[in-house]
Amino acid sequence: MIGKLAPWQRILLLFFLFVIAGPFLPVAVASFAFRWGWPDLLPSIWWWERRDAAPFPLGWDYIFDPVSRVVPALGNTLLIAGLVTLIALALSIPAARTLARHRFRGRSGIELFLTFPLIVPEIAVGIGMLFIFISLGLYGSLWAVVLAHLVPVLPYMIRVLIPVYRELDAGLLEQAALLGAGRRQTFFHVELPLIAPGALAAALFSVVISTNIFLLTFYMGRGQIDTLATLLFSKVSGGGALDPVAAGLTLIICIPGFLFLALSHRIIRENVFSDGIDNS
Amino acid sequence: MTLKLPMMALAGFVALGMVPSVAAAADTAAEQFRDQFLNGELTWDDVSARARQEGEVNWFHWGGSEQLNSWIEQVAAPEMKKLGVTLKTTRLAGTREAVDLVLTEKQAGRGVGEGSVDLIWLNGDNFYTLSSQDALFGSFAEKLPQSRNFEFDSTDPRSQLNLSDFGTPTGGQEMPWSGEQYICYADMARLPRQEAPADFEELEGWLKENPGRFTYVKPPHYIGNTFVQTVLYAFNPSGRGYQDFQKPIEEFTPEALAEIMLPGFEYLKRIEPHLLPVYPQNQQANQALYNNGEVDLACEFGLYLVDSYRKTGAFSETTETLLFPNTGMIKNKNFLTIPVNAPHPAAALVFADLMSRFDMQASKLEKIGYPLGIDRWKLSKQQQETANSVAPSHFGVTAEDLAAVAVPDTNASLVKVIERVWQAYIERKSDKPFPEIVLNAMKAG
Repeated sequence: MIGKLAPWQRILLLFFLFVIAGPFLPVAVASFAFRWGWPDLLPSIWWWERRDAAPFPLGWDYIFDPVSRVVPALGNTLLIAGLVTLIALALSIPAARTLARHRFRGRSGIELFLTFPLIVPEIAVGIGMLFIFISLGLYGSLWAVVLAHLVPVLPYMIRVLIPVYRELDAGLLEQAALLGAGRRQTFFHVELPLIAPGALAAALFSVVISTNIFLLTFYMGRGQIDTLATLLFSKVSGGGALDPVAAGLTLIICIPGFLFLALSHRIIRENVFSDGIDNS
Repeated sequence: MTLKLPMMALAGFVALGMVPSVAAAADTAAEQFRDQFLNGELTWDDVSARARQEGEVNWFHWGGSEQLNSWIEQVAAPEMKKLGVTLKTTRLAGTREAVDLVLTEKQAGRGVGEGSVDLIWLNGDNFYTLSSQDALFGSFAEKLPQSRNFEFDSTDPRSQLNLSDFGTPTGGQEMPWSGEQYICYADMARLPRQEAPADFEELEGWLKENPGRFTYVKPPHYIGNTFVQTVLYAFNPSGRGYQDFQKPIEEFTPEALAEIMLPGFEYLKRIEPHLLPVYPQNQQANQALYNNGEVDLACEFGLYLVDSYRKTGAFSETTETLLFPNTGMIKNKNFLTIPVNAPHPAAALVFADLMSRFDMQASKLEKIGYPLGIDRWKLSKQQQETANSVAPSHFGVTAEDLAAVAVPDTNASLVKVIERVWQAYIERKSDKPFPEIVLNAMKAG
């Protein structure tokens, strides 16, 4: 496919590849460094030269050592992001569908209301939400974290899904109904496949946002639920240079997003109606 | 129907998972335990027995150091296990988060025994906040068996390091865990020791020849404040150095305070054009400037910082500690405190006691270079020798050199004033007369 591109298109493609992959390069190198200081272009001492002499696990050894808690944190992160995304989809699809298809009084008001969490910064929401959660006695569990994550995730998801529903040709659904499909059949075999690409895009937002939420996770989990974000924040909050462990964690925190991309890529490639709609 | 059914099922699922832990009534047993312990009605065996019943303890600490995290898992947790308590730790990005958690829980009515945080590693501002919000367990430090390793006798001036935290009286509500000293470090390959400044006059001269090769962390960050305090001590026209700055603000007239601070602030103003034209926000940013070769020396707390960072590769192997400024290098301690709503108060006491044991202190010094929090003169001869032999190197200076120039922190009531004066006089370049700037800073509370 690249062969068909004009030279300027190839240059542009290379440029974008560089812009996207570029920032990962120094991070990847830093994760394998022991000593990387000015004025060296590359680390002067690599991790593997020192890992055996160190009195405690260094760099990647630390990340894969149980003491780093990376594995349970990755598990928690995936579980929370998965639950948040599923619940958010279940709530956003009907919301976006109603907002996109029906005209009713106060619709634009509701649309605006649903975007409020995007406008108020997380840190301002955090303490207030913690206070409410404590009063209701529902903090400290994984579910509290999931519920808290839904607050910043839902507005994005609904915003992404509204235009998806606006562009959906309602005629297709009517045709299905005319051909005798029930409401359930119409939804699962016509409507859902049609909105699938949009829903996947919305789900990607959700996964990426949930993976990176630090403060709400810390508060609602009473500091006792480790996720990749809480581990990474304890490493990088000082604002200094990325040390090897921080660099390694930065790469690992990208895993949920990449996993999701790989997964959704497979789903989308199984083209919307490629297997027909008559085999139900 | 479409989605309604699965949605309702999900909503029900979510709700079920959340509701069970509705706030309980006040934990009267924990309250009783606290009162009895603080009144001295319990033996240490009683405390240990209750700790084993509680079974776990949640310690919140800054979690950015792999060495510290590894030491806790490898040394502290197994020792705690021997005492029948599981050590759980939360690695914080900033200690402030643990403080906020405690205060929010307290505000939401979670009292004695009902919070999430058993101990916090902290000092300075964070302790002051908890103390002023009445959010501490109580005066426990002198009631622990290992308190014999500390000078708590207030008639001995050396006890100040244990009884005063950045000038806030500790009242025994926190236990010293580690000592620190404000040091400067330099890369001997870039700045050989004989060329490095030894006091502030030499720094000024050096800066004129090497413009932009030094800066300090920006106040009100405590690392920056400490630098400013060091300067004020050195230029105190009364000749009494740090001593004047030990007094609380009530003992000063604005004129008197302005008088002892003016020469120091004039110095800071004088060197400003020769500094790197940026004040880093914190010590990590300052380290990055140093590692990027933008500055040749940098200052922060860390008696064994150079050793630790050479071991992790964060500093070059030619980085050494400087004896700068030889007019006085501020020394203080950091602490373990127990919040008022600690869920496992007895286990928290047992942990604070364990951390004060000589073998744990020596291990912490040897393995991760965290200075002793216990007082050397309280130790046996053999213990002192052990402590000396396991201590990491300071690289280029000796423990005696550093001890000889050690001076205490500034009184906390003055710290805020110094911050505000710096912001007005240096940062905003206020052209008001200096005494007026000091007066305004004092009036601001």
